[in-house]
Amino acid sequence: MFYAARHYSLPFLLALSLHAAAAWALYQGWNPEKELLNVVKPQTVMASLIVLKPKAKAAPPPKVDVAQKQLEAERAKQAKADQAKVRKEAKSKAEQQAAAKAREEQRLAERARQAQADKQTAAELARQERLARLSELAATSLQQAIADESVDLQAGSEEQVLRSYHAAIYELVRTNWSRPPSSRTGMQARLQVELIPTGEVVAVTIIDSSGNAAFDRSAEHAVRLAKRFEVPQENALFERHFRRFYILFQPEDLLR
Amino acid sequence: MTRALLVVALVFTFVQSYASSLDTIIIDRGVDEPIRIAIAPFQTDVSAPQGLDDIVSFDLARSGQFDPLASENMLSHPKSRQEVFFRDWRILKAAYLVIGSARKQVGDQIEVSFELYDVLAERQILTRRYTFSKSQWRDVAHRVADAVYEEITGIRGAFSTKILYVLAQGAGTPEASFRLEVADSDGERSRTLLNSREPILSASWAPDGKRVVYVTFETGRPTIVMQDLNGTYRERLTNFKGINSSPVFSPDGRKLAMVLSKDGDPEIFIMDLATRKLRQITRHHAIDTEPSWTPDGKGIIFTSDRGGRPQIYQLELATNFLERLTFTGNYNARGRLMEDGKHLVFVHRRNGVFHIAWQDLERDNLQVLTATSLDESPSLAPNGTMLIYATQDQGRGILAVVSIDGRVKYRLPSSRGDVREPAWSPFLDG
Repeated sequence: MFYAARHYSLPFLLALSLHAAAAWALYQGWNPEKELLNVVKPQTVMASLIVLKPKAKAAPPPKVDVAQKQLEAERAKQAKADQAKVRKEAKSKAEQQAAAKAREEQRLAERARQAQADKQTAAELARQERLARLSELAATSLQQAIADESVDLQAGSEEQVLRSYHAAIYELVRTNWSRPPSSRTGMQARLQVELIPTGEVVAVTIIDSSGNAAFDRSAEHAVRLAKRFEVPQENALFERHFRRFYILFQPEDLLR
Repeated sequence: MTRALLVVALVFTFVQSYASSLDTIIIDRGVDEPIRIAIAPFQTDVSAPQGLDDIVSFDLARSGQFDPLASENMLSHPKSRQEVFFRDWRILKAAYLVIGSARKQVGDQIEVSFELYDVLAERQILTRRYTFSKSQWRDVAHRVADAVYEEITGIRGAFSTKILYVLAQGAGTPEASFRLEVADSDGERSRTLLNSREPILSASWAPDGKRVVYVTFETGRPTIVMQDLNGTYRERLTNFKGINSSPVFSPDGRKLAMVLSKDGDPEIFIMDLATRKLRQITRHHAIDTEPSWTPDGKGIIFTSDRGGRPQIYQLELATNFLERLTFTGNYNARGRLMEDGKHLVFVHRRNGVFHIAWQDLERDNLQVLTATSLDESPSLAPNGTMLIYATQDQGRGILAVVSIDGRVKYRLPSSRGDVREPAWSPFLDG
């Protein structure tokens, strides 16, 4: 007895600690198979992103171009004015003296113009800076929005994800559904559809018949013609919602 | 004990919630494309001008609800279940497959059998066997088409039915001739019931499909005549002064509604065919014409201009209760109730052009079915899915068919003259 206790105490302790570790891990919610949700983003969200992106990026550059062109034009104008002034000075000093007053006035005007130009340049620069800042802000907030959105999805706004998969299934079945002429508004048939994780349809069973065999068969055909549905990669989600589900055929667009 | 009950209740609610936790996707719309079907060439030792599969394919295509695959596009021509590979047919997007054979028996008898497969569910859903004489080659094909149509659509096929129409040649000339003809519903195998130098009008069928009534001018004025299809019986029913027109059998075949103007203006009368007694059912100074019966035989639908314009009215025979049915437009005439008693088919004038239209009497929505002009004399197929009418093509009268959902329209070729006044037969048994 003591012999056994002595000899097996180490393995016993090891086993105990291993169990404890396992228990702790389980308690902490450790899940060996858990992966990040690899979610196919719903079409609608993708669409809005595509619309937003070019707007934010495309808007600023042309404005910058216009500003630069304006600046260059300003500078060229100024240079021309300066040249004219130098030429005038070299031509005649007498004239210069005689028109001292006029020159003074001209200089004053020149200065005023210069000040005006400087002011314009400064304003232009400020505007540019503001634009740059704005576009940067837009870009970051967009990135933030994208990040938020994917966080939302990854955090499992499962409802939303399901809705997008259901919408895809709806669309595929609808476009494959040819109702027989004996169909009437008010008929309905419930079918159970079984899929394998690839999304392939492996079984279609009529659970509640419409009472019209042709109508039931048209519903079954709509599912069988679809053949394969887009399903979530994530195993748990697939098992919960897509391994087996119902489709209720309930026409509301028939003439009769 | 209570604990056990509690456990049972818990288990039950768990099972319940599990069962209802399956997602349900609701499909409230469809596209209603024609159904792709493959009619493989029938294996046969009988020489015939046209293959059974060809006739069946043409019938089904004509209904507008099917899109038959051309035999040259098939990957194989299976003769038996062993030779059917569903994958091949799925690749061709065929939802259904028909295989069959026609074999000589003793005498001129032929045995025809076929099998209908649901390609998508990979199972046989129908098999039939018929024995016919060789002269009934086309009849067999129409019977196969009827059976396939009914199995897939849930509606009885009407390919074995016939049509009655008037063929006019040289109208308005001294050599004018008018012929009352009967043909298969696809326009084939026509034969003449009556040949006359005077116009023939308003031909219609008895509900058993064995007799017809029509109006001739053989006595110099309009006369209502009844005859049977094989020509052994023919009788003049009325020869009153004035108008004798629009004879229509009651659904039980015992009475005939008609228009007579013997007392002045045109009124609707009902003749008891056993006693030949007449009963006047409308009394109005306006024109009352074009009677037809409600499907239960208890009422008469007719056209009247008592409201100033031609509109369609319904009269309850037991109570004389009168009801106006049409209110859209200022010309609606020649109403015929569909088998469900809730839908009316009639001639409707819109923007001065005559079209065939139908109307849901409960929901009161009107749908124009035809895009041609001068459309007249609509006559419903007995299964209510198609209607035949007369129209004009380059100044010549032709017959055209339109499906009641408006999806399919086709013309029946007429190479011989003006065709008018079509009447679709009831179901013909045997």
